[in-house]
Amino acid sequence: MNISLFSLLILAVGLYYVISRSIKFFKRENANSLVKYLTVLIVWVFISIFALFPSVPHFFSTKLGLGQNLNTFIFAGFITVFIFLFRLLSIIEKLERDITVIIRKEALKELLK
Amino acid sequence: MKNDIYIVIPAYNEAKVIREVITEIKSEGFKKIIVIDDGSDDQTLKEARAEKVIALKHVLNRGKGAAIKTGIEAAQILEANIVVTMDGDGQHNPKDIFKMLEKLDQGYDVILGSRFADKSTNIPTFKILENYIGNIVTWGIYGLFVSDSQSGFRAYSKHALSLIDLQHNRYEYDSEVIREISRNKLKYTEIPIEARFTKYSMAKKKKQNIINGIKTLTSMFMSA
Repeated sequence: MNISLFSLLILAVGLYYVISRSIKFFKRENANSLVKYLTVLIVWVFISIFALFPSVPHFFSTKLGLGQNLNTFIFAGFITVFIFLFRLLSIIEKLERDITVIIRKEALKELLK
Repeated sequence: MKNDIYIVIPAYNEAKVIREVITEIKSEGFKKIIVIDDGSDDQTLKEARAEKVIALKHVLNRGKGAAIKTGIEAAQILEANIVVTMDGDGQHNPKDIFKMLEKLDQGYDVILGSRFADKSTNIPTFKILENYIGNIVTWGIYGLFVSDSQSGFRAYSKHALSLIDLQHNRYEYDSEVIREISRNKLKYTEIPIEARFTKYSMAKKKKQNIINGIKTLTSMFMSA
């Protein structure tokens, strides 16, 4: 098996995340839910497998009937990630505005006393 | 007339200069001053209250835009006819308020103070460049070209305040006002103002670094 330095690097990062997140989750060091922990685990395990065995994505793409259209599949993945990102940004922005409204109300209470 | 004019000053960690800023405004005859302490870590609120002005406190830092909006809402509660916004670092000269009031008397809704309208003013080159980029982006997104889109020294009539609807918390607020002028077809004009770039104010401005600039631009694009 021919493993490149880049694959090893990705594998190291993947292992770091899997191990550190597992320790944090089981020690209850952060407030991560089980779903969040499993999502992080699955993502990094898959990234590590793909880095170690580059032929695996092709195997999946053939089984899924995508054939040579793997790039389209990856592109769709990117689009999905961007949609999630924008959704998250919108949620954060709304939260920021809500916080400001509450803080403003509190500040103006002083005036209305 | 000065009785229904409120001066709104957003202040974040301005304890060193806020009293001086308030005293200077008072010396021009403007007594109705609202200071919004935007979650300062220092004694800004205490210092402002020592000058017997209305001083309100944001318990968390929400940004210059949010602080100005709180000040404007406070002024509206107090039935202000005119609201003038000024920076809390002493950069603006309160003598310029008179020029703004003259223009409001002539029927304008919004008066924008421009640090760049007077070409003879000695302004650091990077400030000119920074402002020019801001002007171009504001024009591109909001469709109105002004010579100082990032100026905090502005005056609003009661009519303008009833129409302007602002959402942004931070520095993009300055450009958002331009959007609202355009959207509501408000009558506006720019007047040259004095900008006093002291060591103190320049040190504060450095905090508006390139990362914040990119964040401001992103936020402006997303709200376009």
